[in-house]
Amino acid sequence: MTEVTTLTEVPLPTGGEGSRSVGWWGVLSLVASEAALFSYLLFSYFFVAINADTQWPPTGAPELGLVSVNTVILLSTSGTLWLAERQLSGGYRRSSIALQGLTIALGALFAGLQTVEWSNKDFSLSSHTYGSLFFTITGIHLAHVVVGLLVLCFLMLWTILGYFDADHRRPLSIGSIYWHFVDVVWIFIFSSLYLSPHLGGLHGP
Amino acid sequence: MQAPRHARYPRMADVGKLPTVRQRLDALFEPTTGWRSWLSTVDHKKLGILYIVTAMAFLLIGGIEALALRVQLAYPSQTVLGPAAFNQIYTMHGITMIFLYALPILSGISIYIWPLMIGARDLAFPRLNSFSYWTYLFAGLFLYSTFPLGLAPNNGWFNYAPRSGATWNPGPGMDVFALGMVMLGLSTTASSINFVVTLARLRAPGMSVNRLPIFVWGTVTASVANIVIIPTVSLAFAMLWLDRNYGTHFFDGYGGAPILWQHLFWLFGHPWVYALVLPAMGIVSDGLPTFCRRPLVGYTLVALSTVTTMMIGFGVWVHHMFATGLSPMAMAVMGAASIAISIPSAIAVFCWIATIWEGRPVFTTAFLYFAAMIFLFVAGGVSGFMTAAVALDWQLTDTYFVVAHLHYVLLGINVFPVIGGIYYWFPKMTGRLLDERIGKIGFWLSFVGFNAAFFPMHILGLLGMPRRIYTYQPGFGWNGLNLAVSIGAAIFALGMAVFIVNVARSLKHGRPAGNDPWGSYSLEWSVSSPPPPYNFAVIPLVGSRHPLWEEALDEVTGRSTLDRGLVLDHGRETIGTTLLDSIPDAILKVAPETYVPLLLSIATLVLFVGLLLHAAIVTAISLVAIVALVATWLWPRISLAQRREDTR
Amino acid sequence: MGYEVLPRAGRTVGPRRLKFWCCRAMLIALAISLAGCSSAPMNYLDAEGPIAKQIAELGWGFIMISFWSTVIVTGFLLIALFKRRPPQLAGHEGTVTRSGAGLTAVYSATALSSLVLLGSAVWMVSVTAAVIRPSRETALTIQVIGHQWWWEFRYLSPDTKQSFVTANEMRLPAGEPVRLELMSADVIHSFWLPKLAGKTDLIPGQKNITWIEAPKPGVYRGQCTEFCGLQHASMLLRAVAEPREAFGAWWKQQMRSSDPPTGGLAKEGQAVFTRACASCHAVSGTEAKGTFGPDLTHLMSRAQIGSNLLPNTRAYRAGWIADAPSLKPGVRMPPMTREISGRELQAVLAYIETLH
Repeated sequence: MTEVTTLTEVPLPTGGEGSRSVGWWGVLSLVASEAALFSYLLFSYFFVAINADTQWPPTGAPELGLVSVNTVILLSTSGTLWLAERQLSGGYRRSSIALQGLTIALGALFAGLQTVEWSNKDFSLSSHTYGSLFFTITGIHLAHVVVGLLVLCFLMLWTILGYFDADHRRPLSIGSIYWHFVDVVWIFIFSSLYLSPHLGGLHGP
Repeated sequence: MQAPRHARYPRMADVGKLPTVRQRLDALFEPTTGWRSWLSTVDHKKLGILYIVTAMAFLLIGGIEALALRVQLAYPSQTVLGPAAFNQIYTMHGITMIFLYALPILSGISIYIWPLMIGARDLAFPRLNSFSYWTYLFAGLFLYSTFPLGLAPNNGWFNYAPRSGATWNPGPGMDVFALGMVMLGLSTTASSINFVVTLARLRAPGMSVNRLPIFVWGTVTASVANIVIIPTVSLAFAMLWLDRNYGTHFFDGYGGAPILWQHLFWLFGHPWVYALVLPAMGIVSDGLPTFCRRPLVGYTLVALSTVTTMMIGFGVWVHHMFATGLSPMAMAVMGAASIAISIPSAIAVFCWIATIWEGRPVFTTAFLYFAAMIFLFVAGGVSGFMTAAVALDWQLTDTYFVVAHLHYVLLGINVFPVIGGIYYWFPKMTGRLLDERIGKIGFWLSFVGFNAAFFPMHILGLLGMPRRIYTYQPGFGWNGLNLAVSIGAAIFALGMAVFIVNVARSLKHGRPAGNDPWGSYSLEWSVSSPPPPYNFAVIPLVGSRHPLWEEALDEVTGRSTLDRGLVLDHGRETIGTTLLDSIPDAILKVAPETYVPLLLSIATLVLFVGLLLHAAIVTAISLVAIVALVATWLWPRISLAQRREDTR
Repeated sequence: MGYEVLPRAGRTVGPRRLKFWCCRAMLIALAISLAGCSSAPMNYLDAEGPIAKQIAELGWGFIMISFWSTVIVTGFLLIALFKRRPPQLAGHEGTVTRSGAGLTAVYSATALSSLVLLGSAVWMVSVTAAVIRPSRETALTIQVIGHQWWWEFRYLSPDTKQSFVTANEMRLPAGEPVRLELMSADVIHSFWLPKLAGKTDLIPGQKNITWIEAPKPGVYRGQCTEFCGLQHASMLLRAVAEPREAFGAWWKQQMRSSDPPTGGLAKEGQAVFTRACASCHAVSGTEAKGTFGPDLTHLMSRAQIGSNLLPNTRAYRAGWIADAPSLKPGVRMPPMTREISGRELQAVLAYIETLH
């Protein structure tokens, strides 16, 4: 009876978690594309800044108060989401759901405070190129936060419905890659739009 | 590590000993037939054919536009087309050929052939594949929506600011172009991700990276590039749309930077032209060995040159901007890089010639197209080398010399291999061979017509004829050459018409092909023509670079087993293998057919129409529909092993 | 080498002759341009200015490298295609072999072409460096401002009173390098006088600097080469190089304001001009100060109108005023027949013909 044998020495998972699943590779490719998008946005920002013949930003370096708090809030969501994933893999579904809920709440708080930050600005999208860049870059990021929140909401719903356990948590780990990306890219946006004007030097007179 | 509960050992078996496996797989992989199945299908073969047919239709439309331009330019001071019509038609010609034909045709061929070449049952994301196709089709229709009204985009495919802005270009054409490009970008990004993940995960056991067909190398290189360059052009067009509709100042002359558009556009545009040729070069690299009856000379060199070309290709975009007053240092570096990029291309050419030299060419029509491509590639390459010389480019740029160069490159390295590739794979796709005699007539008409049309353009450029002019006055020495170009274009068109006739005729009357009409070597020739919906009854095990030639070549690396392989029939399944060595590490699920991708593409189209018309309600409704459809799509399924089996 | 058992693959004679014919056609075509068609006023390989001459040398060099590379590689391709191969045994046609090596040839050819490319890159950089700045101090600066679809020239003098504005016909002192400042009033254009130098773009919000030198008196043709809209094709350029004295005299004449018209009809014409034309056109020394169209102070000193599309004759002037869009579709100048009567048209003609 040699005509039916196996090729492998260990049984193969169906679908597979982590890097064995196609979804993991897919979302990583998506993140690569999105990372490129944000680098082109920041390229545009610095291109205009370096070539500006007046003060940059024209309204002076932006205030750091509210946005710094907001940055801490957003970055903390990566921690809570990471814990949520760990809890699920350890079999603690309920605490995972709670942590997912906390992540969503903090993410929504970030989005809310971001609109407050917007309304504090005394220029608009159409005031000048700086205004166009500022609102477009932060706006595209905010759109990513909103998409990420939607993804997290569905993931929490599915966890509540009992779809996931330690062996079946692929959607959660794939979805959280996207959310971590949204957090990380904010660090670059925060450094470029908020911190770099305070360093001076680069931005013309 | 403890194996998860849902893990299992995939069985190995001879397909002959599994009498019912084909029926079971048939039922799993093609549950519905008839015209509706074309709307709901996720089968890469059906979607590949849809892609190819759509792209060829756009080639035809773009070709007719080109003929209209050549009628106007055949003689000086003609008034067949006025400037408004000419500018729209030349713009649509560029958009059509570059965005709606050149990449989609390669995607279509890749979508059809890839899984067969690498021993998979579909692409990694079959539903995403369907979404890519429909979004591509709808983006194409969207881009053409204002053409019948005489309000098409009229600023060239490069669309330089600020003439693309609302001040200098009111009307809907530019908005349609901007939004249509963003929409098309979604399709291209989706298909590129699909290729990359398919390559990373879905190869048959033993199909390690050093055994991949070069075509696979070409498409995956192009796809990786697309993933990082499509965002530039989408962003640039989105910013343009904001400039036009919401008063932002990215590219206008009032604090914005018209030159920023050029940087963003060419950061995308130059890598993009490599994405348009590398897969096509792959077709030649894979086709030549079949017709020369020997393996490709320098497989590793050609594979590396493909990747190297792309990498250098990221650093040469400024060579489109030598006349814009950039710093001399930037120009010197980019000029030198543009010269250096010909080295990997030259390596590929030398390897092809060496393959023919050492082989015994069989002069089929496909081979003629491939051999002609080598000549056209050299001719197009050396004119590219001339335009890379900064000071010389100050004279050459924006003249017909560049028009000649880009047509030698894009027709020579894209259209000729594609037509050759269709002669090569048509039997696989339809089960019938294209007629060789008609094929050769078509080839010679195309080859002679092509050179008659595009070679004189070099001289027109050297005699100072600028691009994108709708007419010219006599007395510049351009008259006779322009007439020659127009006549050549007509001959070339005739050659293409013969090709279309051949396809139409052979669909019904072509000679039956059998599994392997060319005596070729790669996995796609091991299955029937056309292949069954599941491609492989058992997943083959690959032992070398030429699975079907192992006996003749007396391969030392091992023997592939084609009739004996992994039986995967617990639902729609294929094998997942490791990145470099292709060792099985998971059983992957293949999504079932569904209308959701089509509906999502429709919702996307409605979203863009809403944005175009500033119809807030339409936009909002379509956004809600998109969220609902994506949630349906991603809803975890037991059949895809995305959730626990014991939940309802 | 493993060939001995295989029969010859199919051969045709047609392809070889055709490819040979194609190569010859290329050579003949090149020879025609080599002759430097005297009837091709924009042929930059038959260059005149010092910049264009150096570029043309580079151009010929690169053409030769390109031509011979194509010929040699195509030659190898043709030999590979049609060389005789040892016959195959019956029944073994199409057998696959792993004969021959070929890689050594690939490596050698790559090394050789890399050397040629390296040399070309060095040559290209040195020529670019040589022409990017003028060899001598420039005494004259001309601002070139692109408009849809005509050229404005501002001749700048250190003494601003000596500066003046003209349009479409550029005058240059022969044998002197001239500095150009390139700007745009609307969209991107590109300045090109092929016999004298390569192109430089005119970009809104940016000032590009280049230089140019006409070696001897004569007329040089050029054209806008960046797509700029409907009449991109008719945004023609004409530069007239003159000896220093003639150029100085022209400058003096251009600086003068227009003389007030003397004839009755011309006087009437000036009134019509002030009413109907002055919002777009300027005539120095009068109330007409429009800047949207070309400055007409010395219109009659130019050989052509409509951005060098039409000869500056009475019939074309009349036709242009009456209905410019019929002569140059899309032109910004509206048909004036709506604004002025037939008699007024005659009067305006009489007036502008005094603008020498």
